[in-house]
Formats: sequence, C-alpha cells, structure tokens
Amino acid sequence: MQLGLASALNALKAEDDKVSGSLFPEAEKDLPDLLRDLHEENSSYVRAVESSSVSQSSVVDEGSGQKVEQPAESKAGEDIPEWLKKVRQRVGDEGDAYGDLVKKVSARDSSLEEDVDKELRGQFEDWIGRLRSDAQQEAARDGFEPLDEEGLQGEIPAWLRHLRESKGVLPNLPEGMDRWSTSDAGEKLPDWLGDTGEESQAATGKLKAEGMPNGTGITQQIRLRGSGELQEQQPLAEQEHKTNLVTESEDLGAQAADLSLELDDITRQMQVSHASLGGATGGLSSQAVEEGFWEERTEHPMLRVARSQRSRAELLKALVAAEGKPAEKQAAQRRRKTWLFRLLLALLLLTAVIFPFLSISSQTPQTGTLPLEAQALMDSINALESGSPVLIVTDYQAGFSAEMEQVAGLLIRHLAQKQVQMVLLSTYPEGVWLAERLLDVSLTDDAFSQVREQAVNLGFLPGGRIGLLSYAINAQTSFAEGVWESSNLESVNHVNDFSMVLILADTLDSARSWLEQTGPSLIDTPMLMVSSTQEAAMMMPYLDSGQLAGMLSGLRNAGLYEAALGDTVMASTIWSAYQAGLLVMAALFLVGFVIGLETNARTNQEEERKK
Amino acid sequence: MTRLAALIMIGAAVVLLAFFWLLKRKNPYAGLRTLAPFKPLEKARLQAIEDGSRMVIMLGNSLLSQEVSISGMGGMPILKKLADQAVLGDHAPIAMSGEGSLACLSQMILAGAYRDGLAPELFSNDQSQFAGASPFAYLAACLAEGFDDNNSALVLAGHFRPEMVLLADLAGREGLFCLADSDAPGAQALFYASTMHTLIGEEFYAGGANLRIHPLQAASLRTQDVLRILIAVTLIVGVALKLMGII
Amino acid sequence: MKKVLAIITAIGVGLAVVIAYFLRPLLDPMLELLLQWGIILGSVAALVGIINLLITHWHKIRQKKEHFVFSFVVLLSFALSFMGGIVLGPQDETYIRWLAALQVPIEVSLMALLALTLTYAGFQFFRMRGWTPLSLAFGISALLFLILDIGFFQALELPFVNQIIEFLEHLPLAGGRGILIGISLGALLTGLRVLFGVERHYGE
Repeated sequence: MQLGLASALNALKAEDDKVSGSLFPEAEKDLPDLLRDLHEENSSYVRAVESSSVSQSSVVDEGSGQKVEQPAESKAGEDIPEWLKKVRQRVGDEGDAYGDLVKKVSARDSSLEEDVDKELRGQFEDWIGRLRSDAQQEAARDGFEPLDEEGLQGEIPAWLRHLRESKGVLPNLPEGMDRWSTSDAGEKLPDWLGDTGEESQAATGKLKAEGMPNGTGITQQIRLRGSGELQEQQPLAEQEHKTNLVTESEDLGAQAADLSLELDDITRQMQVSHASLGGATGGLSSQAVEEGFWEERTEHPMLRVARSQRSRAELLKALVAAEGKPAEKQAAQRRRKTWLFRLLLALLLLTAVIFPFLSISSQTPQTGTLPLEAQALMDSINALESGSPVLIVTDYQAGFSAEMEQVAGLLIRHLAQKQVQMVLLSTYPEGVWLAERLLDVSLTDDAFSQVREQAVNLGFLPGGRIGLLSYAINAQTSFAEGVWESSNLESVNHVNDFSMVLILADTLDSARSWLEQTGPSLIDTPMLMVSSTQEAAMMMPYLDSGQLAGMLSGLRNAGLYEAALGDTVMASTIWSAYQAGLLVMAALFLVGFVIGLETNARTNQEEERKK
Repeated sequence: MTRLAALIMIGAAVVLLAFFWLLKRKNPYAGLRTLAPFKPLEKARLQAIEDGSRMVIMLGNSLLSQEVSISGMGGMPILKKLADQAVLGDHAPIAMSGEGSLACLSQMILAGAYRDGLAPELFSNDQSQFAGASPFAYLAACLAEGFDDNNSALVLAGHFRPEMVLLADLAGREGLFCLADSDAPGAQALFYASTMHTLIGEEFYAGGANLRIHPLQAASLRTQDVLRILIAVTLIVGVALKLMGII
Repeated sequence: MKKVLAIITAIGVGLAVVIAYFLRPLLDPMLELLLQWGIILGSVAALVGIINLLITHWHKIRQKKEHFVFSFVVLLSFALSFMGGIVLGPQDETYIRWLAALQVPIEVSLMALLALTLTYAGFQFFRMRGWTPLSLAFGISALLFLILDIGFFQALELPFVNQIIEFLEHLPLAGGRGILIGISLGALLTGLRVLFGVERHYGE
C-alpha cells in the first residue's frame, strides 16, 4: 500500500509538472503526515536506486540472456526503513519475491474496492459503451450538421449555462464548436474536462501571474482546465488533442481514486483553486463553480451510474460540502437540544417514581395469584429439611443488587426459616462480597443469627463456563486448597449432594451456563432460579422443559411470594414506584407513537407535493 | 439421550459444513443473503478513512471468563476486516475488550493487520485496550472512549449485556455511526429500539460470511440455515403427531 | 513449524474435550485436567488484560492525552482496591463495605440512566425506525408488555382476562426458543470452525 500510494504520488507529481510546472511541491506540504512520509520514503527509495545504479552490479537474466540491472546495497539504502530493506533483500534472494510483493501491494491497493470491483468495471464498460453508441447514433442521425447556438445551448450542461448567464460569461462560440462531439470518448464529457493542455498552461500561467499559489493538485488541475475553457473557447482543430487530454484526465482520475486518503488535502486545494478562480475569471465565485460541478454530476441526463457509485459520489459530495463547516457547533447544538429534552424526561420519571414514597403511608400486601413457577419454588423450599445444604449462586452485578436483593432476600429469609445450611459461591468476582451483603441485608432478624453464622461463602469460582463444568465433575477441586476443608461440608462431595441449587442470575447467559454445564450432573437435586425482570422471559423455555424446577422474577411476583408467606418486609411503596415508572414509560411510548404517526403523515404529504 | 442428540447435531453440522464447502468451492459467497447493516458500515468505514476520523470497535466482555461464550469470537471477523482496511487511516481503529483473552486476540488481529499492510511500525499496543474486568467497568470505559472527538463510528460486535445499549445511545447523541451486533437476545431488543443498524437473531453469526473473510464461513452460514429449517420441520411434525395423538 | 504445532495442539485439545464430554464419566480425569489448564490460561489472559489496562492508562497520563485525569483516577482506584484486598482480604467486612459504597451507587446510577435512555428510545422509536411491519410489531409488543407489567389487569382477578394475559405472556416463549435455537446453532458452527483452525483472524 505504501509503495502503491507513493508511486501514485510520484506519477501525479510528474503529471502535474508536465501540465503546470512545479505545482506539486507546495501541495506536498499540505499532505497528511502519513502520506508525506510515504512520499518521502518512496523518494528516498528512488534516490537510493538512482545512486546505486552508479555502482550497479550486472546479472544475467536467465530467461532472456540479457543483462539486467540490479541495484546493489548502497549507503543511501541504509537510510531506508527496515521493511524496505527486507523486501529488497528478498528481491535479491528470490527470483519471484518481487512478484509476490507486488501482488500483495496490489491486493492491498484494491482492497478498498475488492467487493464491488468486478461489478463496477462491468457497469463502467456498459455505461461507456452505451455512451459511445448513443453518440455514434446521434452523429449519424445529425449527419454532422453544424449546430446553431440554441442547439448547442441544449448540449451545454445546465450548471455551465447557469454560470455563464449569472456571471455574464457569454457562450461566444467559435467556428466549429458544434463539433465538440466528434471525439467518441470526450463528446459527452463536460466541457471542463475536455480541455487542452495548452489551455491549462495558459490558464495556469495567467492565474500564476495573478498571484495564485503554487500548491495545486489534481482537482485544481481540472479546475484550471475548466477555467481555461470558460474564458477562451476552442477551435475545432484541437479536438484530437482534447481527446488525448480526456484520456489523460481519466488517468488522473484513476490515480485520484487510488489516493482517496488524500481527500482532505484535495478539498483544501479545491477551495484554494475556487478562490483563485473567483479572482482570475472575473467574478466566478467558488461557490457557483462548486454548485455547478455537483449539479452536473447528479442531474446530467446522460449520466448513468450504479447505486453503489452514486452512494460513493454522495459520500464524497457530503464530505466536500462538510469541509470547513462548523460541524462541532451543529453537533453541540443538537446535543444541547436533546439534553434539555432528556432532562425533562428524567424529571418526569423521577417525579413519578418518588411520588408513591411521599403519598403512601400504609403498606398493603400484594394481591393476585402466585405464578406456577413461583409456587413450585416455594414448594421446593418448603420440602427442605433442617440442616440440609443448599447451594446459592450469586451471579449478578452490583448494579442489579437493588432488584435482586429485594427478590432474593425473600427466599433467603424463607430458607433461614427452614434452618438450612447455606453455601454461597459466585462465578463473578464481585459476587463474593455481594453474597455477604445479601446475607447481611436479608438476615437482620436475631432469629436468623445462627443460620447466618453457619453460612459458608466458598467465594469466587474461576473459569466461567469451564469452571462450572469442572465444578460439576468435582466440586472440591474447583476451589483453592483448604477452602472446602474449612467449609464444614463433609457430606458434600459432588454438586448433586446439595439438597437444592438456587441460582441468582441477572443475565440469561449466566443462567444458561449453570443449566447447561451443571444441570446434567444434578440427578435428584432441583435447580431453581431467581432472575431479573428483563431476562425472565428468556428463562421460560427452560422451565417448560423441566430443566428448571421453579423460578421467581420481578418485583410483582416477589410481592405475591411475600404475601403468600405472610411477610410484609418488602415495602409496597417500592412496587407502587415501579408501577408509576412503568406507567410514565408506557405513556411516553404512546405519545411517541402519535408523534411518529403525525411526522410520517407530514413526510408523506411533503413527498407527494414534491412529486 | 441428550448426549446422543448433541452428537447427532454435531455430526450433521460437520457433514453439512463439508458438503457446502465442497459444493461452493469456486464461488462460496454466491447467493448468500446480504445483511443490510453492513452497507452503512462500509460507508462509515470509507467516511472514517476519508475524513481522518476513528472507528472504535467494542468486542464485548465474554469469551473465557464469567459469561463464557464462543459468541465472543463473533466480533473478530468484523475487527479483522475493519483493521485491514483502516491501517493507513489518519486515526488508527481502537479495539475495546472486556475480557483478557479477547484483549489478547484483538491485539494479535490488529498487529497482524498492520504487518500484512507492510506497516508494522504504525501499530501501537494502545490500539487494543482491555477496558474493564466487569461488565459495568467495561461499559464505563467504553462510554469514556466513545466521547472522544476523533470518533466517527462505534461498532459493537460481540457478546453484550443489555445495559450496553447506553453505548448505542451515546453514538446517537454524538452523531456517530453505530452498528450493534450482539448474540444476546435481551441486548438485541434494546439495540433495535435505540439504533438504526442492528443485527437480529442469528444474523450475528452471518457477519464473517457477509464480510467474505473465509469461504468456510459462508458454508457455515448455509449449514446454519439448513439445520434451522430441519429443526423447524421437526418441531412442526412433532406438534402434528402430538395433536394426532400418535406420540 | 511453531504455528503448525500450535494449531495441532489447539485442534487436539478441542477434540479431546468434546470426546471426553461424550464419554463421561469414563474420561472425567482427563477432562478435569484439561479444564483446569483452561481455567489457568483464562486467568493468565485476564492478568495480561489487567496489565494492558494499566499500561494503556499510564501511557495516557504520560502523553497527557485528553481527559488523562480520568486515567489517573483509574490507576489510583485500582491501587487502592488491590492493596485493600491484599491487606484486609476480599471477605473483610470493612473492605466489602467500602467496595459496596463505591461500586453499587455507580452501577445503580448507570442502570437508572438505562431506564431514562430506554424511555427516550421508546419515545423516539417510530420516528427513528419508521413504519415497517417489524417496527410496528416491536412497538406494539413493547407497549403491551409495559402495560401488562404494571399489574393492573392481573389485579382485577377476572378469569377470562387472566387467561388472555397468560396466553400473551407465553408468546415471547416461542420467540425466545427460536432465537435460542438460532444462537445455539451459530455457536455450534463457530465452535466447529475454531476446532478446524479456521477462526484464526490474527493471521499467519
């Protein structure tokens, strides 16, 4: 890629010098650092090759028997980068190494286009073929009759006509100008592209004389040619030359495509060029030229482009249009606007959520029927015997602790009432202290102090899903030495030895890991789940298939569970606040729905009006 | 029984994979469904190169730890493709990982892209960042990185939790392009509501084939489709047999 | 040669784990050993990641990049948490209280932001997505489940209404299963590609 870009830069430089003298060096100063480095690197490589050619060694090409020149290592070569040295060394060592390198570089160069390259080439050939055949048919039909001025006006692109009219540059047509369509390839191209080198040089000279800076690139060359034609119309005799120049322009265009990375620079040069044109052509504003430039590309009836080409052209257009505009300012304005709206939304939500805490004084138990899965969970806990070991997995993030502690706290208290031995572990590092916290906030009653003391926190189970499988195979070896021994769990050697496995999970993935890796090892031990509201729906298939024996999720079900236990620890205000928040969200969603309908209707009307 | 079913599935997958690979060896990507979000991604990539801005690729936070998922690998083809093509951009792409092994892999991919681009000296280790060990730490780090003024696009490709939707929202607020590609159904739903370019369902696994990374990925996508159809047919037949009282 | 050896090792270990999984409990000792190696390697990778995190933030401070103050906060917080864990132990009550006092509010605040973001997204949904069958289905189901979650209709305790609600609540089950099957198939195929040594985007 470096070589490709650098060589393209060199080719451009040569082209530029040929057309308008030493224009490029200034442009180089405007190049992005990376491209400048590349160019300099390539120049140093060229210098190295040139200097080495003085002391070159000659080798005989096996194929042709002729002597071929091979650059020998020289002092100049020592300045080049390491990778280039290696490449050159390989070129020296292996006959076909350079071929590989070139292939690689070419592949890199074409990588930007690789997916659409064939399609684009086909479309381009198709397009150019159609243009040619149309032009030939038209020429045959017209029988080379000279066009009058009106007819020519019809051929002149709209933007140019507009420019001429607005800027007083009248189409002072020279004799034979009707034959600007004699060249097959150039005939349908806009006039600014079908200009001659002499014109460009003349124009460049003129512009230089008027103080135009030297730094110009491809785009400016094109502009310069355009400016030349706008000022001086050309005789028919120069058409052949024009055709050559069109080809030359196409080459330049191809090189320009290779140098897409240089876009910023080119755009800058375009602006310089436009400014200069404005002065040089007696009142042609850069804005007018640019408008015309793009107008030609989007509206010319003969221009047939593929959707992908159009999309790229639009991208380029947008980029050029955005150049120099205060984008950050616009973004900041937009941000400020949404910021205010978001603040209002936040206040509305907060008010809705806080209001129940201020208004409700009495705590009323939740009414309704306990869902089947929650009932199954309650039955499983009720069936536990005193002292039986229960594995509690705290696989949730601290961010979910508010919700999880409300729901899981109920079950912890229910388990404590049954006097079971709680064994806690987590596959989340923060689960270690969240487990302790859960016990602390749930077992505040003195009646549970003994259960709290007997509870064992096995800590962090490393390895995620791998760790779980390992744990399912051998529960004891999954922990650091001494942890299991000190946990007073003599009766438990395998995960199936627990009386119950209760998973407190905030995500489906965490729950799935336990279900898929540890679940098959549980033969007669029920696996139960406490999940956050957002993931509950995705757990349902596991309940249906019997892999989960029961589940409790969400504040509503927790409230029902609490009511079924006859417990009123969980304040009903939390549930009311939750309901109020949901109500506001649903209302806003509906408002958005209505506004969306209205916007959609307005957009449709506008579209119809445009049509 | 479960193991037998799993074995049959794996066997069928291997056979179909080999079949499609051999069948479409000459033109592996012909006839594959194209995913709409990859077109704007291509545009965003070109734009990032043209205007010298930066793409941030977030790879999620699970591969080997906590929520282990092979889906963590899902973002790798996208990272590879974007890195390959952005090697000479003004601002190098940044990969943010929320897990150690993902960070190692992403660093290898980025370094490889620069090596293949004959510009290994342009690669910096800071381009591949381990953003945080826990999902929320990862989210916080990604939010901070997303606010960088040089950014033009956020690509979320990997396994994400639902709260990562804050990143998509950030992209919307900052006017950045955002492609959200996650295998987690919860995250997919929230991404769908908050950003335009989202991959839904198993489309997550079609990224590699759409980006034409390796022919076997195209064969893999075809295999996936065929297996899904087979499972759907089996389910329908099962329901019909159950309704008829045969099983 | 080194690369070939690495690929062969990767494929070999992968196959061994799959075979051992199907021949359990016969090959449990081998499976357990391989899994322990996996856990150790995963932990080492996590360690490498943490070192990468520290180095990245150190570079940001040294190069005085934009918002480098935050990097300083990250390093300071890391040092304090690390030293606290080493000195007091991860299950020390004071240490846990300190961690909870910092981490819980931060994460809960992010969750609150999430609620706000989703409210905003809901409000903007149809303007952003337009009126397509998919967006309409999504919007209607989101609204429906928001309303159902409020619990108003359930509290009425009308048998007919409850039956409808039960039916509606089972709808996501079907979709969820479909998505899970799709994801599992994708994971299976990705796993196979890893086993075949294809999923190696880090190059040669």
